[in-house]
Amino acid sequence: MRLLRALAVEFGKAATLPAVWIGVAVTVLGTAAVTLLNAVQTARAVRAGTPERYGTPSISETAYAAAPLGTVGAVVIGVVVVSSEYAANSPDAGGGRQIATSCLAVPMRLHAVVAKAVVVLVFVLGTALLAFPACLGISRLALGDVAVLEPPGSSALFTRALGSAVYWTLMGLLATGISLVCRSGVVPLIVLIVNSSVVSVSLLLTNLTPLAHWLPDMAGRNLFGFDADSVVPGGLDVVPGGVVMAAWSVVALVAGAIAFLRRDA
Amino acid sequence: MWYGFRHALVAECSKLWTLPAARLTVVAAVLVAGLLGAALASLPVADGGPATAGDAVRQTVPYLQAAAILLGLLPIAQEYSGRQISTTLVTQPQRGVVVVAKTVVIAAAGLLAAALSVMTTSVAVLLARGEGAEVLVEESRSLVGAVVGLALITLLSHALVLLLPRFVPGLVIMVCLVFLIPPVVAGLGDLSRWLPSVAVAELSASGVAADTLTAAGIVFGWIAVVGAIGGWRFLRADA
Repeated sequence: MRLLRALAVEFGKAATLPAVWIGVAVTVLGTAAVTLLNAVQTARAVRAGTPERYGTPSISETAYAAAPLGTVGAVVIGVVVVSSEYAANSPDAGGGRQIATSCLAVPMRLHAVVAKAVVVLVFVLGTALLAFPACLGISRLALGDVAVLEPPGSSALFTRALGSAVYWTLMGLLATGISLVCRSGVVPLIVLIVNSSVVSVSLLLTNLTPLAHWLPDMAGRNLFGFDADSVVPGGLDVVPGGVVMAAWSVVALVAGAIAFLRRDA
Repeated sequence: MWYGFRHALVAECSKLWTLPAARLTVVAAVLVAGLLGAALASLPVADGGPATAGDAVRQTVPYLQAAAILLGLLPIAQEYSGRQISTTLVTQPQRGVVVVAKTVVIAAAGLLAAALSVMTTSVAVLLARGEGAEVLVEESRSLVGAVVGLALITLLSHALVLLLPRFVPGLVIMVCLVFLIPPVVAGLGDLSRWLPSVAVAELSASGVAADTLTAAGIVFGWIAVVGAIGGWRFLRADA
């Protein structure tokens, strides 16, 4: 019962936090815009007789090419759910931090951590539920008559959406765990967002040591379901990679929970 | 007027110098620059490593943009995170003077941090490759371009946070603009050249001078447009 109350409280706080909706908007609008751009370019190339420039005009390939961009929104949601608690209010409103009120209202700190993790999970999965159908619809409409449909019985549409949603969720939870340790959003935001881009330190490290393939973002990258010839060679397969990434997220959350339980608010 | 500006300049220098997050950003940028330079320089060319010492230094520039963004965002964002902005405007009611003083100080800090980072990278690259400084002398124009490019990214972040004086939205927009959007719109050909990070990459490339001027003009254009709207907001809005 107490956990349910903590959950309700955390949902209320997250839903009234503008930065959470910025994260949702970045993911949904960003992936939709990239899908539109991809689909228009691919359709134009096919009609011009140069399909090799952008590959097969497959609906799923065009839509899911934008999936890595959604990681940014997941990271923002995962970070701000925690970091907003530690930001000082305006001095006009007392200058306090929300974390003190939160700890008074929910003294069982473990409940608060679990509730925050569940909130991040629900918000990120909810965002994925909005983003992927939108991307697939945009891809279908923008490709028009050149669209290549999935073969009957193919589960690629579902499995790639599931894999991408799992990647986003695990990255969001990782961001939550790191933010609990740091008690600030600066470090996790900059490290995790930059590392999700082409300027990835993990990617650079894979050139120096194969152990870098076990880092969370590199381990889980095959969850997006890209063809082997369009991703960095080597590394872990989908399932072991997902398990390793999940293990990183659990470790980060446990470390964050321990820090949150043992430190002064 | 000049007297007031001088005082505002000293005040802004003092605030930036005593901002722990800004100092930490510069220190972290320098350390990371050294580590990345050494790591990149030790990569074999066959594995995608840089062919020359100049290439190795240039390849660290995209990573250093993260620190440049932070340095541009932090001074204004922290003023708005509490009531320091009210104190600032009480002590210097001429808001135009505050904006100019902040911009001058942040530009100088950005230039200094970029120069320190690029120098550290250069030293690390030379040590890792066992080469002398003369191999970088002929690359000096592109290295200066890299320093200027990083300082311009700091100024662009400052211009954005004048418009949107909150840390998280500013950081997300800048990181998307600099790191995530360029590869996505790379297929648009020449249009992608109008993005600030692409222009910064051209600044540090060893190309012809005309391209350098165009690239600098593009980044200055971004700073001028965003900064003008941000400055107008700062002058008109309530603290």
